[in-house]
Amino acid sequence: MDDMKKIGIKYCGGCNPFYERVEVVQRAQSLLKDRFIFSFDDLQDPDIMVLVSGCPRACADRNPGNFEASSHSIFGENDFESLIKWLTAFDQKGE
Amino acid sequence: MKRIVTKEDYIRSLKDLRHVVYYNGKRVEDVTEHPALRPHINSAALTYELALRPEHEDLMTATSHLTGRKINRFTHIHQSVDDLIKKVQMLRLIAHETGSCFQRCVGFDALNATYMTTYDIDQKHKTDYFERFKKYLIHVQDSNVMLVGGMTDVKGDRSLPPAKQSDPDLFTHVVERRSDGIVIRGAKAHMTGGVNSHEILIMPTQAMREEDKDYALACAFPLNTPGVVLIFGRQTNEERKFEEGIDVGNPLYGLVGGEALIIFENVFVPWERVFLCGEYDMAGTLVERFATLHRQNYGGCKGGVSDVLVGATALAAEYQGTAGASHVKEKLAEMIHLAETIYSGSVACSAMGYKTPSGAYYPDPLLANTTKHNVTRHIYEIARLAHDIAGGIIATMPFQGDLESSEVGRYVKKYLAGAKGIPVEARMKILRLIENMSGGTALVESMHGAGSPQTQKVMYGRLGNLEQKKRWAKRIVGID
Repeated sequence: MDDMKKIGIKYCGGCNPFYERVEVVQRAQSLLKDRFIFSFDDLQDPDIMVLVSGCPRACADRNPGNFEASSHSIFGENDFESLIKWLTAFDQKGE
Repeated sequence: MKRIVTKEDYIRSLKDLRHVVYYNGKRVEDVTEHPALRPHINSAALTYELALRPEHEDLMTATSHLTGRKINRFTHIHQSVDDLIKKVQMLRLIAHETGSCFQRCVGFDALNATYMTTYDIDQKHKTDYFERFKKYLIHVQDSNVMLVGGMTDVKGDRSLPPAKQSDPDLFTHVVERRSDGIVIRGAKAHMTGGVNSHEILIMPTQAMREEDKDYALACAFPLNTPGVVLIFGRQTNEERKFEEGIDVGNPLYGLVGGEALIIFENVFVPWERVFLCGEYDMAGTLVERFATLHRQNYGGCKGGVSDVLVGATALAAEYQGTAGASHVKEKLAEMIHLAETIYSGSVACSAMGYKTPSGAYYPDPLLANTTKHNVTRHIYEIARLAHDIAGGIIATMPFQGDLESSEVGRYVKKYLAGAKGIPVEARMKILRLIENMSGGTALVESMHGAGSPQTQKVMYGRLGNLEQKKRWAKRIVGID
């Protein structure tokens, strides 16, 4: 548990999303629950950030907050696989 | 007052309020337990609940420019164009959850209009309303109370100004000035969210002349103040809220904003909650600003409500096997066009907003009025198209009780069947939702909420800059 990495999840506000943002994040969480801790409220010092926007306007990217960790942005349902690949690669690098 | 954070806090705070509410001639002891009022409470409660969700907090919360604390956006004073746009986005997102009005924007707009106008009143009249108002605003932001935006007076004979009415109380006015405050009398009509708000922020209903100065009044007080009486308005099909299930249409949330007539029978208001009292020359400015801020909203909330109605209509078509028909596709496309048109207007007036002398940002008034004017037309057309696609069945469908009847249930299931594999119950639910969202009170709210269409046309005359348009035409053809 101690060596699990912390993922900070930052959502856009969700005014008119093209897909179910929370559902996509929950799917990732369920798939990677043994390797990452998903944090939604406490975004201090995450190992890695995922910026989840509902559409290509990418509002989560515009106001991501202060963090130094590397980040990955998703804008639609089709970004799920690339997200999992990116997180898995990060985990395997052991950074 | 303890800060209201959760939906549960909000409901408890309403139970504790013990304000005087009447429904159909009877006193309501606990508004949170009344079946006709609870759906409106559920809608407004979402303004608290969604603010706690990480997937919505970017729109639902803001940082107070006065305290630096994180606050609910419904208590925020717009500090930028981005804030104006976020307001509209927030309204659309909440409407996706409720499919109806969630009421809290009215108090939000009253706060912003009064903030920017008290600053201007002080500049002109050397009063101290702005400092008083800022203290009140901090109270609202910290306690997170829900406010009624109290503008519309009952107005009596519309051809006469306030002071010439046969009954002086047909416009809300000051009846006594005391060392510690004022006493007011009158009533406000169509008060959205009235019975499930904590306080009211009163503003004048129209521009005033010197003889109307007792009617040039802005002030705030809790709705449980002695002398305040609320009478809930009757709505289309409201008796269905006493049932549960399919026939309600929208099972959890209210139809429009749950409007009330609020009466002030010699209500005392301390001076620290009085923000305009007799400066009649500024009443029109406050009215115009509130109207603009409120008209800004309608492409957001009604755009979001329309999204739900478009979805329901598309489902109705699928459930009855008409989704593939070209005219149905064309009509659904038209509904989307109309919904996005009103949303575009709200975004546009926000994007073209500007800073007022108070520092607060204000939407472009001409574009805001145009947006609301489009809503008075487009929502009716969207509803008409929904009726067209859904079919006459929305007016003739049997009761849920028939569906569940041991005697006739089998007939309802047999003869209301649609496309293969679709349960009759699902079809009935969607058709009842369309009925709920597209008729009666729901439409009238789009026509008259935030002002009737004629009030928007009056603004075109003032802001439309016809003389400049004539100069452009003359220049092109070479007329001096």
